[in-house]
Amino acid sequence: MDIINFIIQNILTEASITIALIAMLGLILQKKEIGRVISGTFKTLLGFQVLSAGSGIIVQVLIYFGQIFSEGFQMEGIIPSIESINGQAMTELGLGSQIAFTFLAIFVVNVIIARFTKFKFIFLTGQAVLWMATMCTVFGYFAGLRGLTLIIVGGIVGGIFAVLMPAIAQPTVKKITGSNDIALGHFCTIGYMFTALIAKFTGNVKNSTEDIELPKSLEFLQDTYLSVMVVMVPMFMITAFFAGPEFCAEFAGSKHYLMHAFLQAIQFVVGIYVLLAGVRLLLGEIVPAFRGIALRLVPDAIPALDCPVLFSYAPNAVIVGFVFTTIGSVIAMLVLPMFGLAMILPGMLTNFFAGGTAGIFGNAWGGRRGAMISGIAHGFFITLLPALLVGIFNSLGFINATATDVDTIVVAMLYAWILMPLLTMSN
Amino acid sequence: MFFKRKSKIKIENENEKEEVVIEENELVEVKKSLENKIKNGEENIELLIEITSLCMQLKHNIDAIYYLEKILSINKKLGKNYNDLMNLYNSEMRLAAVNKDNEKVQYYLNKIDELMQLSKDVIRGKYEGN
Repeated sequence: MDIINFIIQNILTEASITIALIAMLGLILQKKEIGRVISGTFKTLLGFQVLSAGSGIIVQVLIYFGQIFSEGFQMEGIIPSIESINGQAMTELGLGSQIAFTFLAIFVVNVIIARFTKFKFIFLTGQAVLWMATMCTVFGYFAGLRGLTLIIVGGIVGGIFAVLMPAIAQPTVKKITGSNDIALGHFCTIGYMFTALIAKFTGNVKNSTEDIELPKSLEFLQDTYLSVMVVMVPMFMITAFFAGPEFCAEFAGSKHYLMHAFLQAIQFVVGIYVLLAGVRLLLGEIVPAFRGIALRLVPDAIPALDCPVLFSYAPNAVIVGFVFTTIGSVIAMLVLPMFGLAMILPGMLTNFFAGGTAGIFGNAWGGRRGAMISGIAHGFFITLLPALLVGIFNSLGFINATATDVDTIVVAMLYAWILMPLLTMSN
Repeated sequence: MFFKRKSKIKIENENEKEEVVIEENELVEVKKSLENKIKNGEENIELLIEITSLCMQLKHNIDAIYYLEKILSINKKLGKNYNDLMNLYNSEMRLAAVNKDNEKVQYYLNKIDELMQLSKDVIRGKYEGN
């Protein structure tokens, strides 16, 4: 009994150890040699610590930004970042172990559905599954689920989405790629389908984005970290200006308050960079093991791959989608506070990847005009949805951040608006 | 009447088969001559594209992958070559999965990852001028 208690209290609750053990299990199942198992396990452990370090940097910056924003504009200013939500949930909120087990459960449920139903999609984008596991765990926890129930429900919900999202995108993916061999595994699919719908009714498929010559002047924005910086630096400096030197001095000390704001914006990008490096290290051993197993168990699977798999079919549409999604997200940033919602800053990482892919969907259904109009609508849509979750995130103790990838947000809404009332009614 | 028609189709199919065999032999010969040219240092994009097309017609997937990788290492551009390579990696990965060959499944999964990274880099303008 003492041993079991020790395992529960000191191992299964320690996220870094749990995740390292999951990686070890994957490596053993692959029959890797002992040296490889040990190095892979420790690399995963290291990955978690790097992720924690990145999260720590981000949280410090978000505390600062939240306070100067409230002072400067008398309203909430929220940074959309699923990376930050994951980092805070895994470290500050202590949900790391549950997220790790839910991550594993999503893989298992995905394989079971693909093995025994006609939906043969295996979701191979590890990072996206981690974001889904995070949201299932956080909102399951919010709904009152605990322990094994939290993990099983998260696994089922996440696993269903891992099959359902590629399935609903597949007709358009087929239209884009001309084959049924590859699917899209990116949890922004509801946004893509929304974009496709808008493009269909507003565009003209005959005039493709691929027939136009795009200006090179916006190319620097395509470096994702640089584009985050391009948005964050002015946002932080303008906010600090409105908060004033006296209020900012509390944080800036002897440094000039605007220079301090500038450096904090850079620090935010550093935090994202470190956190994502940690995620890559963390998933580097786990994902190959489990996706190898999944593909062997479902040999006729259709692999659902990350969004860049489609970039090659319409590279101009990617740029058009990114630019117009950013325009839409800026419009939403200004409009949503008029309706009592928090001000959501443009999330440039999502704008690039989700916006770019939305551009391809928009082009497929509505050509260049469709891609542009639906891009703006997409930008608005992916800003509105996370704005609706701000209150719940705040009540859970998250600091000045909200999620991004819309499918994970829809899952969160299912938990908050359907599962939670059901659980309350049954109690 | 149906019998007659059936036998006619059979003969046609046999003729088609013969044609396919002849065409395949010709393609193999052309492929060999192109391979010799490449061995003799005549490697250029047009030649590589031509031989890749032959490999794909002959369903020599591993050779096609080899030449497509060469093309993309010289000319990092998105488009048909990129898409063909992605499809070939995917079909080889599927084959490996059916044969329960984990090493090969992992190999082609990594290749797919590398190719997606290339797609991100190209979109970001990293290989401008190639």
